[in-house]
Amino acid sequence: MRSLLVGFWMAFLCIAAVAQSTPPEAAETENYFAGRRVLGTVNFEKGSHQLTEEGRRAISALVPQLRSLDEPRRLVRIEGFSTSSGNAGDRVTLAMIRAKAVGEAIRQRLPKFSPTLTGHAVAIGTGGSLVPDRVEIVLYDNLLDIDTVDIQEAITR
Amino acid sequence: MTAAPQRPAGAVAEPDAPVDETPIRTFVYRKFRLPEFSFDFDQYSLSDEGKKAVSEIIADLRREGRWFLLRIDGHTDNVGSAQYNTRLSVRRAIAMGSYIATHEGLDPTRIFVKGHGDTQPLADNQTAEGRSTNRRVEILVLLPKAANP
Repeated sequence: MRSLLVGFWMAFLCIAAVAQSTPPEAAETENYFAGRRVLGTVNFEKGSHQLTEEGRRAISALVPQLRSLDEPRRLVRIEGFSTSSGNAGDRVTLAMIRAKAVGEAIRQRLPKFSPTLTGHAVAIGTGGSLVPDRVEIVLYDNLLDIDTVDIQEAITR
Repeated sequence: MTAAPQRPAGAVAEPDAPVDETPIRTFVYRKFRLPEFSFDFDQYSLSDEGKKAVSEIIADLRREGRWFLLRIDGHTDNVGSAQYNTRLSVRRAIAMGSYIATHEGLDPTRIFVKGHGDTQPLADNQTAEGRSTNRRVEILVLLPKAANP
């Protein structure tokens, strides 16, 4: 009887561990962005949102590819990353400002380019071989097309 | 803070790859256009009222229990150059997006920030009241199409 109880308890712990390792929300996010494709990466100096010469060259190299992306089903999001010191809010803002800087540099070359952006505060040492202070120019298919859809409920006051 | 989905290091996608022809996967569930989300002239700091309002919105969305994306659109009045206003509108949208990510704990992967400059006015830019109305951010809540109630 005791061994049976121990067995049940071990099984419960295993199930709980699996459930904790993949929260449903995170799993859905991963699934939803499974088609994420990185077109290019622009690296930044730690703590800075100023484009380097290398960064400008990387952006220039991407322009021909971005110019060809005229299908409405494709969405470009510029995604900033920051590991710099400061609180999480500062890091997220810096990451988004980096993305903004890259977006503006692309717009100087492609005036009609109209990307979305976001920013991530990341822990130092994560991300494998990727430079942690960076911006990725990312392509998604069929994710959202707000300009052509009805809005179910507009909330104003 | 969670990180974006990772990819193999050095992998760069080919943009010329065939476009996935499956239908657009989200729809706009709600659009929030509130006076609390307006800005003073040439400013991009969220007001305390705006912070409170967006916290209530996120709390409501969480109570509903649906998985959602947010698009945050920044706008300006028509004072200043188009380039300046585009940049200012992005800063306004960033202020909101960063607040939601850091204070409300929403994964930034689910946030899409966009600046529209002065291209989408709601009111007459000839009046002070109209310009004030146009200096704003809007929050669009997107749901997966399968979740369309």
